[in-house]
Amino acid sequence: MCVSRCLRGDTAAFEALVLRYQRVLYTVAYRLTADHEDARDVTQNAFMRAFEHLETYDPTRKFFSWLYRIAVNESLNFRRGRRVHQPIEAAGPPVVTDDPVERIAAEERIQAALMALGAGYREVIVMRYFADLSYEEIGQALGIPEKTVKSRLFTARQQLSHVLAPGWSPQS
Amino acid sequence: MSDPERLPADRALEESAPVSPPADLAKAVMADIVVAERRLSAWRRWRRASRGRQLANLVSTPGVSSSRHTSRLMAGGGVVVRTRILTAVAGLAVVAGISFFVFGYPQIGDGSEATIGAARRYQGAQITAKDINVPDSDVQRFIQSDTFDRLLKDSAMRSAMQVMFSNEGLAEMLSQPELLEALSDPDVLEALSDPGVLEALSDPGVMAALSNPEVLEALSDPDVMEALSNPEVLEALSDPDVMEALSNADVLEALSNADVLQALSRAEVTEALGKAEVVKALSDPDVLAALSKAEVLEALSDAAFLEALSDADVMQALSNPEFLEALSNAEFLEALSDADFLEVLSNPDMLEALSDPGVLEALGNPDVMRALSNPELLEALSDPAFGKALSDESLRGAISAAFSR
Repeated sequence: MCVSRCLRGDTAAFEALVLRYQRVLYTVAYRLTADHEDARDVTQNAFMRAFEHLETYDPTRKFFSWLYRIAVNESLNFRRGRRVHQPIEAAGPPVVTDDPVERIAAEERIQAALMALGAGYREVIVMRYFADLSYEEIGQALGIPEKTVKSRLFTARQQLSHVLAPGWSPQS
Repeated sequence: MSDPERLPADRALEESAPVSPPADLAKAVMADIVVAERRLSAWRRWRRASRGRQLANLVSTPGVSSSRHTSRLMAGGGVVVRTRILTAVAGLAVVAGISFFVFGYPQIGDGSEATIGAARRYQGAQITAKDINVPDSDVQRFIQSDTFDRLLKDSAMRSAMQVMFSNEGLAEMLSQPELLEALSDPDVLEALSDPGVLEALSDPGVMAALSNPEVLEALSDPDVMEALSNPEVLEALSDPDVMEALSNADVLEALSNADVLQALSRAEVTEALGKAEVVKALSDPDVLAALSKAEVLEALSDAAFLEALSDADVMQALSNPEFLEALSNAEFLEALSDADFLEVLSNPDMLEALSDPGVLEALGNPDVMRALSNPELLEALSDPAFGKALSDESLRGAISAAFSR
């Protein structure tokens, strides 16, 4: 077990954890901050915090849920610290396409739509769709009942659909 | 996704690709981790290793369902909580027992009658080792040991415990979860209950020094406690030579000095003292003998010297393997007793120069040490102008190059 080996001084064991989770953690950080540089800093800080507090990890819980919670807190603190208030552009409907250029544009529209949501709604969307967590795991990570996760996710999806609808603008 | 109602956003979300992290991210993270790992104190390393072992056992325990075993080990489990409380009580009893040996028959000051009266009102039936049944074999072994039994039954120990709890600083210290956790560790319990430690601590000189309020205050410092709870430090402290040195009246007097105590409470010092190699070097009988000399102790009590000594860079230099090796050099130890040499050493610039590996290596050279015992050279070295010149890196380089030849 990497965590146990790392706690016993085998730093290289942590590298296995970094390699395994960097992609999903970076995705989550990017979806929450909407900035690649910020996402990099958040991911780096999250791994560092995880390493520093590794002895507090409870093995009865999924390691990723624990790591994810750290990353989310880092993202929120990061945004708070930087006081970033990006203007939300009109998202527009996403186009599902194989064209790389259009695909990038579609991703950007989804990201803009995500940033238009409240932090609590954005968080559940990111957890469910980008971190692939189950309702139970989301509930554990957020400290809320599974039922609340489901209802919050439904509202988040409704809001997101609304933002992605043609003709939507921040004013509307 | 199997959500009951599909919404227009769902497809877009499902089609969204994960974002690729920068190629050098893992490398950058690991570089930070390596630095962070080096910064961990000896205590943290020990705690983490102990936790790591616990997790490894969790995975490898045959015939035990992982989740059941885990829940036993984790804080939420009733068994674990009870074990921790009992082991913490065992640890407290050891501390209280030691405090009895340390304080002797403590004089209870005015104003503590109400505390003791209140404590007596809540005294229940006498607890015996038989009343305590815990699953952890190490703790159980300790609890069933003669030492524990003796500590538990000793009325003077109980009085000492009351006095301890009436001391605000100590009570606060004992309420720290980290300390309780440390005291629950079988290694710490074993080291603390070592007859050699108890015997040495019962020395009247040690008792007198340790009943000093300033010593108590220093002991209440979390950093000092952290260093002292380190099993390696405790093991070194139980060494007969260390105990003998600690019983030396001059050492005890120096240790009771407020400046010395303040210096010892500094995080850099306690961190250095928590390192196994430092403890090992300091436990060397020759080093201890040199350190116990009146001149050295006088220098150690000098506020400016201590201030310079507890500087983070100097402490790092002193923890350097080369310096620790130099400590085993007979000439160096002899020079340590030389008042002029100590005066030179108390020069902050000189101490800073010590952080240079070349200079440290030079200190291990017998010729250098012989040269350093020359009064004229020492006089020259103690000149403030020389100290200032030492801050020049090229001069340091030249010195270390010349000395290491």
